[in-house]
Amino acid sequence: MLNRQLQKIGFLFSLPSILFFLVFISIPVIFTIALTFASWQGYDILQIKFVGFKNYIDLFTDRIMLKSFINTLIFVTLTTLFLNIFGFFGALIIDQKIAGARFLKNAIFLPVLLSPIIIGIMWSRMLDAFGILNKIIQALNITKLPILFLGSSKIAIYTIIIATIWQFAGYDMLLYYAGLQGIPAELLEAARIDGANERNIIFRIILPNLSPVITITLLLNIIGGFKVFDIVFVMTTGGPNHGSEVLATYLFQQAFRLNNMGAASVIALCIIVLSLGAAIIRLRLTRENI
Amino acid sequence: MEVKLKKNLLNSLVVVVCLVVVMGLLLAGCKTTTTATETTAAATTAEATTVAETTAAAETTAAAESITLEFWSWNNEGAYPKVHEDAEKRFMAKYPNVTIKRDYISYADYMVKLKASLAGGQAPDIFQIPWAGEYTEIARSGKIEPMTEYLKKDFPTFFENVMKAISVDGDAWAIPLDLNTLQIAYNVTKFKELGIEIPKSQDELIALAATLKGKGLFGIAQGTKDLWTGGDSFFAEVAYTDPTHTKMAAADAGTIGWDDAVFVDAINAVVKLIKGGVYAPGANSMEAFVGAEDLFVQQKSAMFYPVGNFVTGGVTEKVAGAFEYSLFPTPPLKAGDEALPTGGVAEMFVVSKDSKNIDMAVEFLRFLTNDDGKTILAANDFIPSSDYKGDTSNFSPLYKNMLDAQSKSQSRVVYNTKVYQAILNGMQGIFGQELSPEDFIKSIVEAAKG
Repeated sequence: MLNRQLQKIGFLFSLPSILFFLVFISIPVIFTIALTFASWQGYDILQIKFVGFKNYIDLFTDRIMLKSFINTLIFVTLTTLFLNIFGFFGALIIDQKIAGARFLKNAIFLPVLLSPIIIGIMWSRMLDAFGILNKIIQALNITKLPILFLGSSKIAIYTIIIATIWQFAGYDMLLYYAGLQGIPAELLEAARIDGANERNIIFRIILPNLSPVITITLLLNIIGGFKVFDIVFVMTTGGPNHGSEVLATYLFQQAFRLNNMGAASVIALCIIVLSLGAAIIRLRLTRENI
Repeated sequence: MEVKLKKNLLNSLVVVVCLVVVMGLLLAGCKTTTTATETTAAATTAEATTVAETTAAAETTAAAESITLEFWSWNNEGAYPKVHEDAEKRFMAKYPNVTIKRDYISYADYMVKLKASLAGGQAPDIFQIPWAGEYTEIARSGKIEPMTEYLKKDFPTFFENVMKAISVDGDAWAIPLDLNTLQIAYNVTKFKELGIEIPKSQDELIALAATLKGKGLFGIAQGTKDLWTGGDSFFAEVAYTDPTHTKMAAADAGTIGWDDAVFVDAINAVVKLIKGGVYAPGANSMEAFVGAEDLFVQQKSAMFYPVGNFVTGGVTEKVAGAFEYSLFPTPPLKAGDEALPTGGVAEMFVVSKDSKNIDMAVEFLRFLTNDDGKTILAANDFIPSSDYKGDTSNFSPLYKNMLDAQSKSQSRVVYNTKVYQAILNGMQGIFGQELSPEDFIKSIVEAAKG
């Protein structure tokens, strides 16, 4: 009897969260899934028409969708790889008791606090054909013509990746730094006494001890990568000629430039599935680590 | 332990229930206060109504009720807000009970917010609408009021090409405020200094670019990162490759294909200019009115495209005292042919069907476009969308140039959203020299198929 009463009380306490989840997450997600089978320009709900799998067929045979998907994978792979490399080695450096380590920690972390919009505008100005970087390159006589960091569809995505790594390396560094604080100093000391060199200490002591942090950091980066929008939108709007289009910018284009809410919903569903997949892997790996 | 936990939970529940009761009481208090205020207000209104009835029987019904009209635009740059504000002042002088709530939303967010508000039945009473792409779709959405009948009463007679541009399925859906023309701005001082004349053909333009390069200057500064500017380079060429000036509308309507020779010739002409070194490098990484404009203002480029009254105000201010500039249309393909600028409707507004004050919203649009409205437009270098009969003797040569260009301007509008976006994105590929003219045409044909 008391147990049932407690269950009711527990339910009452959870009710606000359940309602919030239903109204702001579940219903929109269900609506999005339903829209993937519909044609709608986004103006009048009464004009929604059922079209079956047409949106899926159209998108999966669309070369721009394929390009967006490939670019998203490139973005996720490279940002995850380099964010973790820079984050880990940055954490190792600031963990040393050396002069300037604290300054370095703050300096590397500072861009994390800025909005990706500001970062995007700043990098766009620096990297345009007449920006500071091209001026330096030309002053050093490396090339006569400016390098089109954002103006070429072949390299724009990589430029955005560099800007993203610059911004978020500090975040990964801080996660690794926190992880490093959890490794007992005696363990490292014992390894040194036993004759382990720095390389062995990193690869045989530190990295295995950091595996829960590595798992979480990797998966946070992967999920963040799949959802990337703002910095790409500000730096190139997905251009030139879709050269740096990622799933989220193509979703925006389908929804608000082409007024194709059905196709936009399919892309949204792709992002949800990819992120959910990464989240499930994360849960499994974390559980195994625990 | 378990008993203690249960006891704590029960205590917490009691606290929550008490809080809910207290909040309920507070809200009830507020409600009581509101009701009291409403009662007082109702009494005051009743008194006021009696006074009004006895002292001012001639007052109109409209004047008696307080109305707020929501007005949305993305043009808060340049002198457009001055034009809107002026109409608002004149309108509110006649209808003091009406308040215009003007909101300027950046273009990047505009369509997102507009769509959400339209779908939710919460659209502003009056809102600006894009001239291409979305226009037809919004007109057919059933969410805006057709203007055909209203246009018959107290609106100026808009130019014929303007009426064509705002008509969809036999009805006019928007009220056009002003027009723009897109031309090439050139540094008159530098041209004189170097003894250069305005090119009479595109071959001369290529030769001119080579001369400028020899003097350490770029030709045309153009920022295609903004997408739409690249599209205008294509439309400028179509104005010449299609002497009938009908094929773009025909292709848009699906009666001819986008692989028609006039479009192939047009894109080849653009490619010839690019390969001929006419443009400053890095078009795709420059915004039109930041990077490209800077190149022109800083005299690194002798020309700047596309320029119309939407930007001349800012450019004139920035170059004041440094150099003189003027405008010429993209030169024709052959010397001797007439030079044709492109252009069309600039700002246009529609009235939401969900508006509770459709008549007043339309009335405000009358104030925007009437003779007083045209005077303030002209005073700010904007070209009214109907004949301007005011004094033109004090107008600047630049404004006269744009007025003259307007009378010859050719269409730059494609209503099929997919085709329009394919042209804009494809032009980035063309400017980056990463897309062939054949693939450009192919991408438009594909987009047209839907």
